[in-house]
Amino acid sequence: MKALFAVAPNFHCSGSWKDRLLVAEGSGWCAPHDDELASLTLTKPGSDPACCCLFSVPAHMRNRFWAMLNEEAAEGTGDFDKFSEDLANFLTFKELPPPKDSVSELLIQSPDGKVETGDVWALINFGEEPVLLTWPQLQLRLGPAEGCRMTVGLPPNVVPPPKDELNVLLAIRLGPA
Amino acid sequence: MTSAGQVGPLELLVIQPTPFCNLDCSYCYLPDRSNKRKMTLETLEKTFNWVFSSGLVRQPFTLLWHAGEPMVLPASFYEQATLKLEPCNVSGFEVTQSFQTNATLVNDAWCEFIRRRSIQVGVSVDGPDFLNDRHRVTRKGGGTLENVLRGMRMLRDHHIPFDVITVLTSTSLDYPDELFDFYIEHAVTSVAFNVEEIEGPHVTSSLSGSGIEPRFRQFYSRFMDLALASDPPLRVREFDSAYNSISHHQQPDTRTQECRPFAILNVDYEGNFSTYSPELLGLTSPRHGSFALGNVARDTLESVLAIPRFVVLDDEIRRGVDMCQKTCRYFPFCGGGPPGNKFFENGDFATTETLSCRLHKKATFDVALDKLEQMKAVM
Repeated sequence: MKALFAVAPNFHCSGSWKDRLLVAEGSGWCAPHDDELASLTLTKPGSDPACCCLFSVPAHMRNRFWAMLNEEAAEGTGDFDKFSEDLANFLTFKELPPPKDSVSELLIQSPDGKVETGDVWALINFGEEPVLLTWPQLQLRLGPAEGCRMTVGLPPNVVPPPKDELNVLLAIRLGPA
Repeated sequence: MTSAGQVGPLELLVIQPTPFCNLDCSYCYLPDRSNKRKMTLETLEKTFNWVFSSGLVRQPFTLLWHAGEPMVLPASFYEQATLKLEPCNVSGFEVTQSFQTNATLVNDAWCEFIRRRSIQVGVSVDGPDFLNDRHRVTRKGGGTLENVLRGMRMLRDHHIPFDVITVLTSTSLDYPDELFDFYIEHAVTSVAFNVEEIEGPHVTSSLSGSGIEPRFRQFYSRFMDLALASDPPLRVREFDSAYNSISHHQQPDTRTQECRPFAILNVDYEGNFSTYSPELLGLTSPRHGSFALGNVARDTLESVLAIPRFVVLDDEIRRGVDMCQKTCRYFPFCGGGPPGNKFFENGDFATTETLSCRLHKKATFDVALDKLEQMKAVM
């Protein structure tokens, strides 16, 4: 089983897959050639419901996320649950509803941190810099305000940020079975 | 026979100084938008003289420069127009000038003129590039958003307030959040949503398919949640209109501007004029003939009111409004569907519901009512 990618239906993500995907080449990474790209991406959104779906979070929601974090830091009253509910409503409107009983979690990943992704339904990058998700021989550059709904059974690793930086992610995890 | 005192008063004078538009939007209803002919100042003066001697001016009204793109003529044309308007206006009533523009041709000279003459501006833009540039394209098919944003920035830099009109297509309905982000990012404070209509040569609409109405309601409901929660609230014309209708329950016999003869007067570059829906000007029907009822150089209002074409048109539109009143529970808040939409969709003015009614009136009204009830519940 290998990861297949598509932009989720009803979403618009600017930029091309050539700028997002990286394939292993020797000891490094490079943009995929056209034939590799064709085997990694779906041109028709929704043609494979199980594929990794790229989506984007609107700017107003990203602003609210940071306002909520700032309020939590300053007053201790930031309402993460309310924000998570609003995010779920947005995704549901977009016909990408989180699974029933899923749980949202704020992840701050430091350069030496590891993110547990086994039960992750989706990861959303709320930081200022891209976050790299990696599968065998393959990486996805998740831009600011972009999210990825994962293929079940193909959890990625999250590449830790460079020194002195943090990855700021929101994980939507599958609930208890 | 209808007399001049029984029509009007004039509320909206729409002048098309040229049919030409520098853009070629896929949903445009104007059949003649490649025609570069222009209205002469002589015709313009005759138009003003006709309007002010007609007896229609009994209150302040708006002069809307519209259709094609009014800014393909230089600002100096409108400066001269304004100078001609002033002595012609023997009524003493205020005339508010307004431009509906795609903003791609806005420059410093335009901004200086608009500011000096206190002209109202409406900018047509359909949101972020993946929505706007899908339909609002140049004559070579290229995207237009970059130039529109440049024009909007210039208006803002000159402290010129403007409203935005966005045409919603089927695709737009998936993107209420993205549209909201677009308006906020570009400092838009007031927006009006039109729906892609079946009008004139535009004989299909992406919104006429099955399943559109619930999608439209979901779109509009989500957009209104965002707009009402924003600080300051983003004003939405359709919501304000529904709110006003609910707050100030209209008299059941009130006909809308588009349904009342000569509440709107539409004049083309040659001085031909029509009334009712502006979209009718320049079009013909096998049964009605030309919807242009006369010309400002030749015909008086009294003579036009007596011609059989007007009598038939007025009778059909009146019967259509009566049918709306008898069959539609939204009538007290609407006053009758737009005649142009009835004609283009149903083939007859003496009909009732259209796509515009279902989406632009009923759905927006229902959503507004829901939001007002929710607001009342938390107060």
